[in-house]
Amino acid sequence: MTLDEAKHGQVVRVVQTRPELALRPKVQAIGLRAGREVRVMSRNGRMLLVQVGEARVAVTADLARCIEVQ
Amino acid sequence: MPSQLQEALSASAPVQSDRRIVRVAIAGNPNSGKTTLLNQLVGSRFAVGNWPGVTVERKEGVVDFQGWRIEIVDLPGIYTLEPIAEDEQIAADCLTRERPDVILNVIETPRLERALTLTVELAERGIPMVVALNMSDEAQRAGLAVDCEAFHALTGIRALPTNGRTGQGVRELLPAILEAHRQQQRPALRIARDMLSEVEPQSLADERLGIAEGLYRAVIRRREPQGRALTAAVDKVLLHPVGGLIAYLAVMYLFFKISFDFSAPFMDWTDGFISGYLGRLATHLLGLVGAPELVVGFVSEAVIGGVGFVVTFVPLIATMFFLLTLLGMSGYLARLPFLLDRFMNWLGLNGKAVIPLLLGLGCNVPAVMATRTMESRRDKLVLVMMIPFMSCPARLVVFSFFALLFFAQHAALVIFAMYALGVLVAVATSLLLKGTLFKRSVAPMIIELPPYRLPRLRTVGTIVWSHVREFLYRAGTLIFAVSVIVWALVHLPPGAKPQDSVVAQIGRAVVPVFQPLGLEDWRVTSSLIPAFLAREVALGFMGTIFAVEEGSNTETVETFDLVAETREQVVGFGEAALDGVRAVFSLGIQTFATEDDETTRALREAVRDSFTPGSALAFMILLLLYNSCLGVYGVMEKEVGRRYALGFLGWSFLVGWVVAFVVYQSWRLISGGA
Ligand SMILES: Nc1nc2c(ncn2[C@@H]2O[C@H](COP(=O)(O)OP(=O)(O)OP(=O)(O)O)[C@@H](O)[C@H]2O)c(=O)[nH]1
Ligand SMILES: [Mg+2]
Repeated sequence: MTLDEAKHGQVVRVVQTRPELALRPKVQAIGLRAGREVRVMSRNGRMLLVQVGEARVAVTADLARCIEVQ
Repeated sequence: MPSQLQEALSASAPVQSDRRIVRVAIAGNPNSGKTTLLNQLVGSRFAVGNWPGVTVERKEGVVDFQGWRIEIVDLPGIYTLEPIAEDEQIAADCLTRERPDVILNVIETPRLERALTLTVELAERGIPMVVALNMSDEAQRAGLAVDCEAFHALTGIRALPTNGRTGQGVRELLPAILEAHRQQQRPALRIARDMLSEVEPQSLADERLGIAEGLYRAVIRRREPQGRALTAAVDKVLLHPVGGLIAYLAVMYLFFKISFDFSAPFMDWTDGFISGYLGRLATHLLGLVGAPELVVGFVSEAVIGGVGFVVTFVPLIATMFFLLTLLGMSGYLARLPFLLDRFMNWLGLNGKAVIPLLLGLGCNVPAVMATRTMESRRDKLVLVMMIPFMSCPARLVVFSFFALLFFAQHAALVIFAMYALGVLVAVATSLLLKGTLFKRSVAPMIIELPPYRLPRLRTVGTIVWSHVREFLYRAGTLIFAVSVIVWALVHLPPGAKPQDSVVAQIGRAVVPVFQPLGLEDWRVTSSLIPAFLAREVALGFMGTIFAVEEGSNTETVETFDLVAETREQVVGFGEAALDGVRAVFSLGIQTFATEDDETTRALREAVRDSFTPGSALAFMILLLLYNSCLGVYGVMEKEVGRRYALGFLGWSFLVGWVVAFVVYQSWRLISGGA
């Protein structure tokens, strides 16, 4: 599944970020990359708030759709 | 204007040791405290704030240390050297093309893992590096420590803990920088295979990420956290889909309420202080030395009438900037993209756009520059076209004067309506662009939310003061110059009455343009012309003209008891402070229950006679919408080019005129011709 399908409170592991994502280098550097655990903290419309390590990151659903998780 | 440092940085010649100059570039993730450290190192006062993207251009500072001249350039924050947004491009360009002597890599220690990916990428460039493990206080609270020895052993880079808030450890960076430079300590990554992350690398970038993860695991030491994480708890409320919006509205309401109510008593006081005290003191002193009437007239009309009048509004401006700075420093501003994304989507923008717009409430100029953080050029263009409609304190000065004068009971409502109108026109502009020039889908967004931080009063004070100083500077230069010129022009040709003067002729020449808006008085129309320079100039301008027409204050002040009058001012200030605090804790917005002061009453009456409530509204609307000032035009031209900047001028004049026309004519219809 992709990150935008993850539920509130769910912890998932990133499998890969799709290469077609324009912001990919930035997204990966921030921590959304293969192998990392991500917890969905909150959702608000198109926005997702996730916790990656010690960082709290807000991403849009269309961006989250390019992140495969399990 | 290329500075010395820029030239020095771009020169590719190797450093000559006899020059003893080190060129340092600060690199690091957004919001890691880079500017804070630069300020500590060189004693500068560049803007800092608790949101990513505060610095959007290079900032430079110099410090002399142990016989060396250390030139430090602060850069916008980056996550990788593959930039997308304009601000990131600036940083990446400096780091890759100009090759500084030393890179000072600032790391937000609590988020070390993320920061190290950039560190590894920077290390590959083979430039001597020093790492500042900043926010050591927060790391300690979170129970995180870094093994600096292990870090050095694995990377060849010295790492030092720093605390930008207190300055602890910051000076120690200087000897480390010198040493790295003198001994040309180039980074050398020695990460063993078994330390790398278990994910199979598929590219160079993946390999880099793996190295960073391995490095992180090798140097991090976890201890017992010493404090509870407040941020998550606060975010539960402030980022709640419903509660968060309610909180947002409450924050905005309080922002305006406190700005108005707290500053009102102080403004009353400044008003009395300048015209009642300073003005009389000046006339008294000039009388004592037997100054000619022309000089006395000049001081009371141009200096006190023009400049002093504008300075009266300093308390309002200071309060507003104080609150805006609090919003930024606390970390609330950084959350608005998350909270308001939905609304911004409707405008064809992503949530990030909300930050420049909100900064526009403080000053449009840095707000326009802040659009450099947008990843898409089209988003940037749209945003730049919206920002000038966000009303700033300079315009508020004009609004509050007119609102009070013509809508005393409903002043707050009228001012609010002006702000709302500005937002509406900004929204309309973006919808128009979305439907025509810039058809597009909304750009995706990723933004980090910093932890909430308690702002330091001193930092806030420095930032507020820099804005107030700017305003005072404008009053002392631009407004003063305009006041002097007007003053002279009103007296020209020699011997002419004001209504036959040069100003009157110019004013009358543009009347046809503004007549449909109910602005027919030459004193009003002529003041619209210099208002292009800065909004509050219009007030200074009118202040001067009316002061000349009054011709009042030239009589000498016979009795001026310096001690008694000074004491009265001091007591008055204390009372104002009490009133201000009391007003903040009342419900509703009280706004300026001004007691008319002797000297300014004449001015107010004069202005009242040359407007109707309807034409006063039209005047305010024009000043709200038509461009915002010369500074904004300049920065727009720089950011988006002359074509768009001129296009905006035309558009904003058109909108301003049409809206003012509609409002004025409707007001006339409703109020029966008044
Ligand atoms: N607690 C704590 N806060 C710090 C420290 N250093 C900086 N800050 C705060 O962190 C925030 C960010 O500081 P800045 O200096 O603006 O960060 P920056 O790296 O220049 O940010 P950008 O210009 O946006 O990339 C501000 O609110 C600072 O007050 C520190 O050592 N400890
Ligand atoms: Mg900065």
